[in-house]
Amino acid sequence: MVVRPMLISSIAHCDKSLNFQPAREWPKAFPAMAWQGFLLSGFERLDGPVIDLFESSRCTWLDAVTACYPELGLGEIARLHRALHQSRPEMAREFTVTLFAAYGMRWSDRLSETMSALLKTPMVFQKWVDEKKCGVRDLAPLLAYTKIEELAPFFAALPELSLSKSQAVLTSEWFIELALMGRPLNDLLPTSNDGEAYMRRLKQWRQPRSAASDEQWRKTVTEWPWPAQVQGRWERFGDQTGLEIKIRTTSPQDLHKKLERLISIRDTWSCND
Amino acid sequence: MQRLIEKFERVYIHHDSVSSELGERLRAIFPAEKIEFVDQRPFAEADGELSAREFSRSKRLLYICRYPGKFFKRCPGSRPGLACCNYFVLNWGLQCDMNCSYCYLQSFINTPLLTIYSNLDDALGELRGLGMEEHGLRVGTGETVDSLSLDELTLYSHRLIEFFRSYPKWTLEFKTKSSCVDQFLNVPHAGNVVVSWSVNPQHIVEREEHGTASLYARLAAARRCAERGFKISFHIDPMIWHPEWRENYGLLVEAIATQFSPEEIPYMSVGALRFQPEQRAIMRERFGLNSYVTTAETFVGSDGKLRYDSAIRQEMFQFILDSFARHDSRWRIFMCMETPETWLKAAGGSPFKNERMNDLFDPKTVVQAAKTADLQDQSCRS
Repeated sequence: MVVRPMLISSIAHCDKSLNFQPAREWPKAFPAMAWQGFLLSGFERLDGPVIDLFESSRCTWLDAVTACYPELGLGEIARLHRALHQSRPEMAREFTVTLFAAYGMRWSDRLSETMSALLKTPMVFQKWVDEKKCGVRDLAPLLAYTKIEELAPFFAALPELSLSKSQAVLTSEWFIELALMGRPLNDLLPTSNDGEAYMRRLKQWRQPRSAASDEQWRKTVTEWPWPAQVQGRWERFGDQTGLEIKIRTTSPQDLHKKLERLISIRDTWSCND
Repeated sequence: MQRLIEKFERVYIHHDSVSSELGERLRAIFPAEKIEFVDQRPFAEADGELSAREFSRSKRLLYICRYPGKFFKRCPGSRPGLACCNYFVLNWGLQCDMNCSYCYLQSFINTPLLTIYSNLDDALGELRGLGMEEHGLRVGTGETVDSLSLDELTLYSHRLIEFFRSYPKWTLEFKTKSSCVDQFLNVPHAGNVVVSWSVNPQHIVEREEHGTASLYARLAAARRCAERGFKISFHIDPMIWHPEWRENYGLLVEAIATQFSPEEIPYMSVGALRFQPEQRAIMRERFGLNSYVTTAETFVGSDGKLRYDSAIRQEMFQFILDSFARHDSRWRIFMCMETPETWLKAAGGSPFKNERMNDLFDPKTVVQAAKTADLQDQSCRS
């Protein structure tokens, strides 16, 4: 059995062109890793020891990358791929398909377009994409806008909004569609961190007819003669709208009385319909 | 024909189809420099969700091969929750050479080519094997490919019309947005061929149905078919909301009702814009937001598709039904891919209980054909 000694050199001697700004700092307890002199981890370190994985185990570049980073977000992998393409184009040609496959993605025209678009957004957005574990389809709206870099102020603001991931994806879709429909960017940008209020504003612009109709019904319904302890609200259920009624009742007699009084609501509704 | 020769940049013919009738015909039609013989499907590495660029290009690359699977399938409208009209589809190709903004193929196709299958005989064999000569089966060919826009190349209409002559109780339905009918008008038929057109107001044709025949060309083609004894039909589908929709759909109804009689048209259908949520992305990329389709206000329906608000759909359907009824109460119109609730609100009752519709919506025929097809499928698998 041949035992190879670990080859340790210094970060100062490594090529740092593959610095893809990984989200997490490399563990302090580990030496930095490199492959054929290309630093793969510990980019934030100015100096210190580094193990060259090619020299020590003859592994491929991809094996070294996946060993260092078992998981990468879309932003990280996009930046890594770009860095490889810029510093070693011949290796990028060799490893593009397998690099993305190693992280569960199939390289395609569409994926390539998505990566390019993502790289044109601010770093804060790319980091948010990684943090929220966004998928390629979540970023589909980006492909519709040719000069996505023009929308940088929006993408910089989006992570600051109090929104869930699915709300943020929908918000970016509405934002891009409204921009494509010609609404000025100044109008469209959020003015506070209140995500829900911002979504309501965008929805009113993106779906003006249904938003106006729903709002009108909502107001109308509140003016109806609801019995005490009965709440009626106008709600949207997918492609339908209608009343959602909540009744608090204490006895069968009470329920009967309330249901009888609801008949007048039905009549009022019929008149309004 | 010249239009088609120019449209396709390249024609790939798989070796398994070189000596097929279609392969030989295309070799005679297309210049040799456009034809390439292949051992496997070109661009197989690009399979999967296509980019907008790949999808658009796929319309210009023709691929001829044998289809190894089952041709005959139930219409997607047969899913639970939708009122289905007893329709079966025979898919002899995949992708369309026209370019409608709302086309569902945009979320369906995952190969970057327009494919035509060369083994139509196998498809006809499948139909023959159903053994349902005595049932009123309706078979359409316009689900994954336009039935007629490429017919000058394939002449499949001839083979299908001739085949259906032996099955007079069955109905063959061509569905198209083209005006390509002259190539089959002289083929003798058994009176069981319906040539149908998807129609929309000319304003919508110009804005959303790129590369299709104008409304007037479609109506004129329908007239030529009617004169040769073919049944004709119109599908006002998908209705697309736009500010002047009443005026424009009113003109469409007027054009149909004044140029045709209810006797010439056994049935018509109406449907409203609907598409899978994932289709939004490619539509936006391909057509921008200068489209009534990409700017539509849609919501997720019970079947997961995006649709207009149900009240708007009912209003649009009601408008069409009323407009035709004003001309003649005998027009038979059904709603395609709609829920029973919409039928109740717009047409006043379920299609299954509507005397003028229940021959179309007879569930017994559907169930029997589906069972037979399924049994065949199982025997193929075993």
